[in-house]
Amino acid sequence: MKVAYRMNTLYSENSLISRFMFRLSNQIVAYLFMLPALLVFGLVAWYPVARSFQMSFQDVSLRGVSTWVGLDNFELMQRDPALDIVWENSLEFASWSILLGYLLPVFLAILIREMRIAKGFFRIVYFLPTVVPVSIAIIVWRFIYDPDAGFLNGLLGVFGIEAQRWLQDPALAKPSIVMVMTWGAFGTTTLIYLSSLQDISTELYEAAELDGASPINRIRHITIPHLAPMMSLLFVLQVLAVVQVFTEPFLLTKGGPGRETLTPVLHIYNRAFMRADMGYASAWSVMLVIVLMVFSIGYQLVNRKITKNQGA
Amino acid sequence: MNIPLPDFWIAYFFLFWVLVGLTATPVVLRHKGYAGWLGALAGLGVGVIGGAVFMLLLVVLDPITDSLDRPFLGAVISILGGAAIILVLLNVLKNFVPVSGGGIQAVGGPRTPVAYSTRVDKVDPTWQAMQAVRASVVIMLAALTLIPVLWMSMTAFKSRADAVASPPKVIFEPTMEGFISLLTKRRQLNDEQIAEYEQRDDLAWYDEVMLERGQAIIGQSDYVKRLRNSLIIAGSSTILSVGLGLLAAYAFSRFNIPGEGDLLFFILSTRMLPPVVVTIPIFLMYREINLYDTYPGIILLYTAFNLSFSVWLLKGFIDEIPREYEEAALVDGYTRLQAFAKVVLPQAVTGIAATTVFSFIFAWNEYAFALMLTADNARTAPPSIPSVLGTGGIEWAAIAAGSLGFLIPVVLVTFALRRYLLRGVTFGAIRQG
Repeated sequence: MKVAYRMNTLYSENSLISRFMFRLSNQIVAYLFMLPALLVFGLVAWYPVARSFQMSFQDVSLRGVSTWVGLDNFELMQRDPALDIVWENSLEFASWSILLGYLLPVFLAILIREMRIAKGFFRIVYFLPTVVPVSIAIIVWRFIYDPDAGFLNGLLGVFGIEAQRWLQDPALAKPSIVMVMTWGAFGTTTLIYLSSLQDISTELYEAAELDGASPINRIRHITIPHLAPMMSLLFVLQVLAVVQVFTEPFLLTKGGPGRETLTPVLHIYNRAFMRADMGYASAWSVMLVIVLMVFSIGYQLVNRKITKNQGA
Repeated sequence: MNIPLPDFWIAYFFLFWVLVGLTATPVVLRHKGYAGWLGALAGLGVGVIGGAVFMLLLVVLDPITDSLDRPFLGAVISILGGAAIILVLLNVLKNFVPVSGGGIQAVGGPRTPVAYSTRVDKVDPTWQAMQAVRASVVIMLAALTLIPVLWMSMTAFKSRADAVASPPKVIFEPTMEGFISLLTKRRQLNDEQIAEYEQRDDLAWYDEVMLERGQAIIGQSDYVKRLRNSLIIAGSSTILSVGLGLLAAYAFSRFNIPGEGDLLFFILSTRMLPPVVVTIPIFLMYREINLYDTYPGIILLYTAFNLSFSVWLLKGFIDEIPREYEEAALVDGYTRLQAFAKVVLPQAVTGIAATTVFSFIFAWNEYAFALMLTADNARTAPPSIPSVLGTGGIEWAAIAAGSLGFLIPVVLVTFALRRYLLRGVTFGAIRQG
């Protein structure tokens, strides 16, 4: 009985074909909707990336004649003294940016979240630096870092500390640039934490309160664990962003003093557009992409392991 | 009147304590049964005294932190230490305030019934007083964050001499000089010509402003062109990326596409790429096909970069629209495209608005691509503002005026969009997490 029923509901050969045709036509409509977007991506995103890989094995001349040189570019790169400097700088930049800018948004988000009035106002105020174009922010920061009449040296004057040469002093140039980046980025991160905080149910806090937990304990045992996944993700995004930084050092220090603030992207820019060595610059960009990818994949693996352990 | 900078910082810290006094004291006094105005008055007093004590503490702590031999650490320690001491002092002092009206108050509880919905712990007076302190921190930090923007706004209205005054002038006579010199080309006049110009009565107000500086306006500056370029490029690329993004997002949301997840991730990854990686091949490609330094070239690039964002964001919005609406429309004889245009679009308006604004802000502010892929014809304003620095002495007022004018549209747009800020900002993070 059951078998007969099944047999009856099977498609005939004819209806199978029509079903396939129907699905195909549906797919075609879907691809038609996506086509313009995919074309744009192909032309100015995916094709250039592929071309970058190709160029990294070539000696590219601006007149359009390229010759294959195998791994020459990469061998040259290994002998480039900038290689070590650039990655050391990136590491230092990342450490400074984690130190100066990583916890500030968490702190601010918790403060704003606890406010009963004018929440929206503070959201906008803290978001404002994010919408200021970098090239404009840089001009104002030059004022602030000015060794003679700058704002920051004014603050130090209150404490009787002598004026500092923020952007020219090798020890201060990196943190100074990281400050500018932090100023421009912390608004976005604060908003992300704020939205994450909104998901915590009030009952948790009330239960903690009834159990006599202090405010510090409430933050430690409820707020922070809830924010933890977001914090780990933003950690990675911040490192990725710092390694790719270009505009701030380009406009503020040009990589100086010495090569103190030379970043990978700045070096690539110099090679490609100042010295017109496109092939060599491409080899550098390929390396940069690979490093960033390895970092992201490593993070994903670690993250998956942690989530699995927590689940078990 | 000049305010030298160190005084500014003293005023800043002082203001913080006044704010703390003004917000926290009324809370404490209200719980003890005093009238509101008394609390405000006492708050002002507490704030002023608190600020004075803080300054005193800084002076006292100075020799101690000096012995550390680490100036920066010392400064941080004196600020935090001073603040902590005052807060503890205030917290202790608050217990000595006598209860007015015969001590009806239950210990730790609210004095008046709580008629609004809140967390249990939030009605405790100590908590509410601390809340006021926290609010003061948020306000003063916000003020600090805004300093660069405020300073820029002020400089934009300063005269050439005031803009470079050291220490910076806080009070000055506002003038439009900065804006005019940004937008015009001028010629220096000699005394005879100035006298001659002053005789004329066909001068517009901006001519007269510049005449006081001994200059005559002879035409528009390059910056006007840059601004127009920015407008055209940001506008077109926004329209394109939102339009194409809508189509693609609709397809992703409504059809079963094989390998959909991979494709979406691939699209998102273009946003994560370091721009310089694509810039080099694009630079070469654009030179070959004559797109370097043209509108279509840079518009196409911005469109691609915004498209990944707009596909993801819009897909989220379209996912929320029930499928049943369009299915009903399809049954009624609409084609897919009609259903899309007449059913889905009207319901996705908020999503479209949010995406538009974020795309516009990106294209409006973008610096690196514009620097590398445009020269003159299609150059936008952001890379040309710093280059104003180089031409014949630094016109700070003009630079500030340009920056301010450039910033205003974006700020207005952000304000109009404030409800969707969170959504636009969190899209990438939440999708990946």
